[in-house]
Amino acid sequence: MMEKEDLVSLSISELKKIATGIGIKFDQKSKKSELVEILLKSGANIKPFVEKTELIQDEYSGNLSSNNFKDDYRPSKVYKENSELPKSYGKNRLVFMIRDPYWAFAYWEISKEVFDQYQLSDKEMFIRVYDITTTDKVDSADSFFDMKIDSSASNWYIKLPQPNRKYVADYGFFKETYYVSLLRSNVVMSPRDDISDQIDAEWSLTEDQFRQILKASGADQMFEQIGSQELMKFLAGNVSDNESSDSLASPSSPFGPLN
Amino acid sequence: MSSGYLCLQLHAHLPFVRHPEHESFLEESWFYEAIIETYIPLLQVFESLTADNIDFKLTMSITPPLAEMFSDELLQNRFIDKLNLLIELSEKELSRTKNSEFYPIVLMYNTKLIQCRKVFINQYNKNLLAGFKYFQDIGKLEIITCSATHGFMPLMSVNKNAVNAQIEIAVKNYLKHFGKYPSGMWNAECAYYPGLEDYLKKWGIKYFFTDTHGILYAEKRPKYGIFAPLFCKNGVAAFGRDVESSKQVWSAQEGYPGDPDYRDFYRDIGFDLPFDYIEKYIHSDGIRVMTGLKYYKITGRNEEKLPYDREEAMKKVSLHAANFKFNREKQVEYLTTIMDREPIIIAPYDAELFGHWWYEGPDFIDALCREISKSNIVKMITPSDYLKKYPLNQVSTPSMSSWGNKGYMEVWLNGGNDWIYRHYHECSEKMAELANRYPNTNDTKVRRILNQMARELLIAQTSCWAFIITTNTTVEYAMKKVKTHLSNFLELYDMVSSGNINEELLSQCEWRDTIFQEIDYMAYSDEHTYGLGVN
Repeated sequence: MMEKEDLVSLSISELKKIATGIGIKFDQKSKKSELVEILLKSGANIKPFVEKTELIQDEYSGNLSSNNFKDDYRPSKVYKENSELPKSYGKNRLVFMIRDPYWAFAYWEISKEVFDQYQLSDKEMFIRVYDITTTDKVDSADSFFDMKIDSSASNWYIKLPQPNRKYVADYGFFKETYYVSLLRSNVVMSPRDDISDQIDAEWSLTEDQFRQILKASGADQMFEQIGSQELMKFLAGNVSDNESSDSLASPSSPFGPLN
Repeated sequence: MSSGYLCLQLHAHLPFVRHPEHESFLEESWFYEAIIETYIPLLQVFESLTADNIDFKLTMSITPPLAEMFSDELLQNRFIDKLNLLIELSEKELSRTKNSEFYPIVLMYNTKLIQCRKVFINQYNKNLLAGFKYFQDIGKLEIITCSATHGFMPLMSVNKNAVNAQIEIAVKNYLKHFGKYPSGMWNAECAYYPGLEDYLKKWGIKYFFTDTHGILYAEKRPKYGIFAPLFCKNGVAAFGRDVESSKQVWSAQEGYPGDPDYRDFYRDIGFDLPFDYIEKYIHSDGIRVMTGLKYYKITGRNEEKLPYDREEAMKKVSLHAANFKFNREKQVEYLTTIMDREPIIIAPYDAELFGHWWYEGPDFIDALCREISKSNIVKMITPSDYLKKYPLNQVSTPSMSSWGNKGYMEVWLNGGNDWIYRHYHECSEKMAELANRYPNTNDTKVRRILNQMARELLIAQTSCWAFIITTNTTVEYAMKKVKTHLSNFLELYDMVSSGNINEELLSQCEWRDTIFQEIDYMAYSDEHTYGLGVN
């Protein structure tokens, strides 16, 4: 149980975290003294806020060393024509992939040992996504948000709050109010979805001139689908306007122009 | 007087498909058709332009898998067999259509096919690379490379060693085929992510291309929009795709290829004629496939298709080439009023569009080059030459982008194909692990296995497989390719790990998956990747 002296020695952000953890409401603009007051008045059993990380995979870097020596090696006599791939590789990892300025994709694996050790079958799993654009550190992330994940899932599409930001993700569960991180992903950077407002002094134009350049560059026509897929659909369905553009079957050159 | 440049970049690519285990294999025909309809016609165009002293300059990317297939003896010989069959069919057709309106069309095909055989065997000795190299050597073509197996780099970025290997192996393969190092690279699917330039620089690549928004959304506002390259911080240049010239060719509504007088792609005698007549010329399993003999013109929607009229089609070609030139001139004239330097217009297209999808495509290129050579306003140029003219460019990192539908990664990362990536990444890690554990090994067996593992991984990583799954064409084949090659990879990995070498499996893999005979698995080592991928 923390006494007043203990509380006073903490920072404002730490006090806020404790309050959140206990479920006490407070004004974001509260001064430290006010926070201490609120906490003491609550009568709650105040414990120091500890963010537990029990990272098994500490920031995925794409280079896990594998200890995958098979004891039961089966000599294979044929070329693997129709094999299925393994369901998992017995690793513990979380990988974060950018799909576009707004969406990312994450996949993960938890080994059986870890699964059992943490009794994950009983737990609800959460992915926590940190925005580390300015700080580069999870501990002092600009912000974060949590997503509840189906326990049976091993991948997830995640909507990113903002383009042009740096993110990293954790996979874990809540123990009371503490988030326990088990896996940490690689860092990703979402691309911008607009024209930069950073101007190079030596390479500058007036607003008017730049607008003309942009228009000439087709800035208002980007993402209009002008590529081979559209053309192929047209050449294929060139019969009626109602053709199904999904069944673009061309037996001999199916993918044609790769676009 | 205004002046500007057009850079026509033709991206020639097919995935490495080679099935020695079957006498004939359906998907190999992608390659054979492309030779007949695109690659040889293009070489003939270059020849004709050169013979007529036309000043032209094109950029062309020939991907490593395609280069490998061009020089593969099995595929060369199978092509000749296939071509002979087609010539035979066209001769039968000549008899059959003798008194019909289709006769001139069949004659056209017959003549072209016989010419094609002569060009392939006599002129280029069965290896078309010799042809492309020749035009590069005399300064008409700048041939650039592409990632080793057309791997989709942004989704590979988490494995630095895998990214390095795709670039290193590509560059070394280019050296093997063309006798020098490539200056430029066409990234597969025009896909770029910040950081890729470090790998490109390491292997001597001086420029690459991005889609329009890759440049427009660059870190700092691009002063010249897409009409001049940007330098990444390390000096590698990025050129952005021009929207207008893309539209004129690619657009389903406005593009040239959809013109009613052009030859229709889908009415093929492989489907139209009676089975017992056509049986020998389609797939050995009796599946009806395209033969390449198509007798109709596009005509129009909801209309019955009319017979192809070559003369009318060629008139349209002249019209369209003149129109394209006219539009580029207008574009340059306008740009000159808002730019203080000569603009470069980047017009990249899949090579296979010209000839395979758009039958008159190569003729269009021929006509276009002739038109432009007469222009006082726009000239053809390669990115290398433009950089020589303008060595000082704005430094601004391009934005992550691709030319796929919606402009980013979705085509290659969605519900249908996202399952692939955990396997790609796992195998990439395993490859790096072994490359590090056995640096430059003297053990011949281990070396063989590690090199073959690299081949299997590379073939599996072709972005085409994920693409095909999305566009829902030969999905089964694509999935099989991913699973087969990765499964073989994993088996080979186990061999090294356990020490139990299954010579038969190893030999099988070596016999079938022959790409990159010169490969060195060390491309996956930390030693080769040193210093790369650091943010």
